Amino acid sequence: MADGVQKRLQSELDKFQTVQKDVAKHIGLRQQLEGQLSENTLVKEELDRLDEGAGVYKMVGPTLIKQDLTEAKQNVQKRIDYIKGELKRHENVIKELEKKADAHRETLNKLQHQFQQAQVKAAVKS
Amino acid sequence: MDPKHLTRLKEEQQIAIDETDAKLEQLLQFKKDYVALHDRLKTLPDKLSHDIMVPFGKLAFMPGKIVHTNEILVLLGDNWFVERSAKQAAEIADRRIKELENKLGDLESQRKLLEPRLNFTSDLQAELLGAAGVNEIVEKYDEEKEKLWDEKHRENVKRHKEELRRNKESQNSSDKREVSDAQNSEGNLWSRLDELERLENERGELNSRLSEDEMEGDESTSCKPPEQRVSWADIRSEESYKPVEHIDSEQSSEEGDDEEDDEEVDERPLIKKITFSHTPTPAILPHQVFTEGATGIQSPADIYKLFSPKPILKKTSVDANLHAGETDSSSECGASVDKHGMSPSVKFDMQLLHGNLNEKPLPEGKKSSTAGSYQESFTSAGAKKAFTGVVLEKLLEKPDTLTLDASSAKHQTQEEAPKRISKFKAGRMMQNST
Repeated sequence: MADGVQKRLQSELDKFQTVQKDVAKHIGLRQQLEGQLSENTLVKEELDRLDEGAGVYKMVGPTLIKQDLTEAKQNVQKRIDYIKGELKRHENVIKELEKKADAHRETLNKLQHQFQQAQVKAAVKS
Repeated sequence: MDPKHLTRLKEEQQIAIDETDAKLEQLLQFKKDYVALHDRLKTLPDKLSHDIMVPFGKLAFMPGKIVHTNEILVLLGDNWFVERSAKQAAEIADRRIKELENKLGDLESQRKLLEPRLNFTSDLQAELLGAAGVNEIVEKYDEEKEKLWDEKHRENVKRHKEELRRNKESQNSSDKREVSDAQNSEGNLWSRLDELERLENERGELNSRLSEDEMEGDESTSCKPPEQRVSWADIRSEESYKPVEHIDSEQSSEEGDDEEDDEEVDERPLIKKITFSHTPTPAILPHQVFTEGATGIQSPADIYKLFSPKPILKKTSVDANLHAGETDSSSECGASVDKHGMSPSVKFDMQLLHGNLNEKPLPEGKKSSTAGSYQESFTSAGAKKAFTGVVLEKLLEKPDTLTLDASSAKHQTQEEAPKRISKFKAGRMMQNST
């Protein structure tokens, strides 16, 4: 009886830990995305300040490739939008994972209680 | 407060402060770099080419030149470069410096928030240890002692409440005496008012004030012989004619005057009985009153001849029939009529009568008969009626049922007095009775 409870406790604990890891991972990703978003917003601002004729280059690997200003602006804008979308998606995933983690936490608590009670009973019997 | 917890808290707070400090340092460094860059950008276009030692790998330098001193490729972020002149690049650098300054400000404020927390915790710890001469007050909780204290407390509270009660009672008795004194003085006031009115009537002052009348003041005074002095006492006596409203003439004394103080009416008779007498005046018929003036009201007494005082309690449908006749008078007055089609004052009459019907079965017949006689006398007076039929209040809406004979309704309702009946049932019963 106590062993069964212990096994269940163990498995529950594992699940909880995996969920927590996922949560942490997604949070990290989200932070990274946030950084990128702010960076791209800055780039956009600077590009807007540029007047026509200025050379815009994109670094691809070790090379600099010349880009058209309007094209560059559009690219940056698209990137910004994409990052925003990713950010939202990540946030949703994080929320769901957190809910799962909470559920797991509760079951863990219950199992712990049971386990303790079982131990007490065993102690009383013996 | 456990000192261990406090030390742990202190550690965490310290960590937070350290992080903030680290960030602050980093940003400061950035700012320094940008400032240096800004300066360099300013000086760069001064010369067409600069002689410099070019770094060659990690450990070597090589003499060289900077050419194209005005063309600068600026990294905007995310692998985007833009070609700018030195001046423009300097502007970019300025903007970045500004942003850094903002961030530095935020971090500074954050640090300022965290520091006092740490100080507070360390102070608390010092207090705990008793270093500063401050001792912690600890109350030990013992269950049994608490129970004992609870019982004692309860007893004390009871004693206290009893004392309060005693004090209140002694106060109330003194208050009652005061109230009765006040009422006595009221009686005195009424008698005083009576005297004054008499005086006025004799001097004809009251009548002369009513300038609306087309009639001359003489006529109005002539219509009122001195014997027919209008006084508040008369008003009260007139009310006694309306048996519906009150059981005892004594009780009626206050009713008419205080329409709103219905609740007090019940209480006052308990405290004080008011007896009075009036001069045997003939019932002043409405038509007489009307000839005297536009509104027919020459004195306060006239009001009560025209408008019967109305109690404000609700009537039951049972008693509605009994008081059908009365509503004629009240309807003309245009008194406030509630949704049941009853004037509020009449309701109270019903209630009172209703209660009486319940308690004293014997006087029932008497009352109803007097009510009937009163109604007849009233209707026979030929008073202006807004409504020729008999108005039944509250629950009966059908026009057919309204024309019931009051007396037959009376008999019926007397039997059913104690029971409340629904509209439709009442209607049906009415129809059955007719």
